[in-house]
Amino acid sequence: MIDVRNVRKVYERIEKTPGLWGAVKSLFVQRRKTFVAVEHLNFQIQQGEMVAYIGANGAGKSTTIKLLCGILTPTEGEVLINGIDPSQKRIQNAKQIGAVFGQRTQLLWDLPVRESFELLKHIYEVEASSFGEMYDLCVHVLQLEALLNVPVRQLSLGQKMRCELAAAFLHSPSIVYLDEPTIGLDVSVKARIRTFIREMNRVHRTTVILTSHDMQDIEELCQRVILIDQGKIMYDGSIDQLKKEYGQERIVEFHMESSVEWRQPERFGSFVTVKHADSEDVGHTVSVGFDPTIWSASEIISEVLKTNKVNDLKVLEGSIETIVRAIYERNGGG
Amino acid sequence: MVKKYLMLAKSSIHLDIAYPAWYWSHLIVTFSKLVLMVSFWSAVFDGKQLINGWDLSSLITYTVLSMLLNEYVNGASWELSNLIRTGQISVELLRPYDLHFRLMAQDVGATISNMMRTAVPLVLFMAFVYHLQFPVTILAGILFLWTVMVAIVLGNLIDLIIGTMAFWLENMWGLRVFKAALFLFFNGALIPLNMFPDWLQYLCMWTPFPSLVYTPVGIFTGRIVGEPMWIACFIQLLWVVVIFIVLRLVWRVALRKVTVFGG
Ligand SMILES: Nc1ncnc2c1ncn2[C@@H]1O[C@H](COP(=O)(O)OP(=O)(O)OP(=O)(O)O)[C@@H](O)[C@H]1O
Ligand SMILES: [Mg+2]
Repeated sequence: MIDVRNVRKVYERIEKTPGLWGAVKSLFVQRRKTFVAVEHLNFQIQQGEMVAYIGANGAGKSTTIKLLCGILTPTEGEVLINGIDPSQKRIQNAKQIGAVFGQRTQLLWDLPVRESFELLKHIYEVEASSFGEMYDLCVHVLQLEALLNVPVRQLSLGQKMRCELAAAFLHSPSIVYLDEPTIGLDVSVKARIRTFIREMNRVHRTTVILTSHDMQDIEELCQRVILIDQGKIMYDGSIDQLKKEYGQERIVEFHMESSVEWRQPERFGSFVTVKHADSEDVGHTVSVGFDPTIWSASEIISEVLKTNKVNDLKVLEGSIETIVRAIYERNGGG
Repeated sequence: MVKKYLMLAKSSIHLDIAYPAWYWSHLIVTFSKLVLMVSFWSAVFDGKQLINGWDLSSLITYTVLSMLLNEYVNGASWELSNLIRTGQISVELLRPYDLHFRLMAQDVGATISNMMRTAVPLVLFMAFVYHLQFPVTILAGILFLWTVMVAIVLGNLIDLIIGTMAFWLENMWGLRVFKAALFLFFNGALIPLNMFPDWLQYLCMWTPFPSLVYTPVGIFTGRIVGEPMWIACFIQLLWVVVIFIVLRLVWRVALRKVTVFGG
């Protein structure tokens, strides 16, 4: 069981002053800059649950996963994984968890896949019988047969990712953390990986915590979603409820010159939400959020174009980003 | 507990064998260095019987063994600093092993494999061509093997401290060159330490460097005998303990950069 109580993580970075003089000066005075990555994190996850941890870029997902793994120590609060504090008892914790970080490789060995798996067996001190069973299952479901004799460094991204997944599950951990495990993969590999994760959860009741920007990953795998924005949990509940509450809205973004004034189409009335934002590279951005059961995107666009001069526009799909944004906007952000 | 490290050591033996091109170039470079040093000493002697108490034959024996041993008293600093530089260190912290022991196990595995394939044939070849001497006594032979093993462990520990510096240094190149120079000069690989002026010998005594090369090869060639021999063995072990403690302390501070500051 995962138990997170009132966790807060503050990153501290030492500011580097540029130049040689700066380097000399920084030997004596260091300017520290702090950044609150996550705060007030509270949640429990039971054995066998599959939970999606979602949020926009920079929301604090990876930070949370690192706190759960024990790579980071919380600035405040408490993390307990099956009763163990992961940042204090690192080796003890390591045996009960598996992890995949999409941007990092865990199979750092220059060895053929089969041998690096074999090595994992010894590193995790797994009994030969239970290891063999898991090994066969992994090789079968992830279709690794043809890859077993290839050195890890020669694998393609998709092949490597399948091996990484296997490596994370081989020692039958009770919890597996997956930080963007499908990043950069093609549709069929994604599907295979999802099947594998589902199978592992079904057969071994492995708890799975998943972060992903792929809505389909989440819909197919998880019953529960925790949504984080700017370091705070905004939603924790079932995926259906999330979509019912927030996923309804679609958004069309209009980019226009900063000097041009926005003229709201009269038909919009109060049925759509309009947000304004300015940025240096795209100028003035107007986001029009609407309920797709009442409006179509083309209606919205043609209404806006009647009264406004627009440089560019973008229709945002019902992705996590839109949901996150809808929630963020509803909570009074800008 | 121990088995996983043995398996890790074994895995790196496979790796060492996996790069034949590197093996041959390393063999040739090492061989050339040995021939160069032996020719140098032969020219220096130029018919003289003794220099600083050394005769040519035992000095050649010393040179061959010490130059070779110097190749093996290094460790995994390169690998460790890469883990740190790339951030891969965070993944390593999720493994149920002690990272230092893992790196050492792998390095020792590679060292043993490389010794068998490079040092042993080279010693046999040099022994045949230049008539290298045997160890002065059986005891010296046994203690030589033992002190070589301790030296390899000590060299590994020192190298891990150097690798850890990657947490603070952006460019490791300077430090590594500096270390290689210190090692070569002060561990006795280039010149036997008892040829140094007294004050320099005295200075060396307070560093761990003589324990790496001079102690084992000095014992082999009969330069360190009797009571000083046992003292040298004891000091070598003492350095292992001291350096290990320093490594763990430095590591503890360094790791805070990952777990507290986020790398
Ligand atoms: N080591 C660090 N030092 C300082 N700030 C950091 C550090 N690591 C991350 N941050 C900041 O903390 C915030 C959260 O980062 P995190 O990596 O958790 O985001 P994320 O939700 O995983 O985003 P993404 O979807 O892009 O992976 C970001 O604003 C990031 O810039
Ligand atoms: Mg991330």
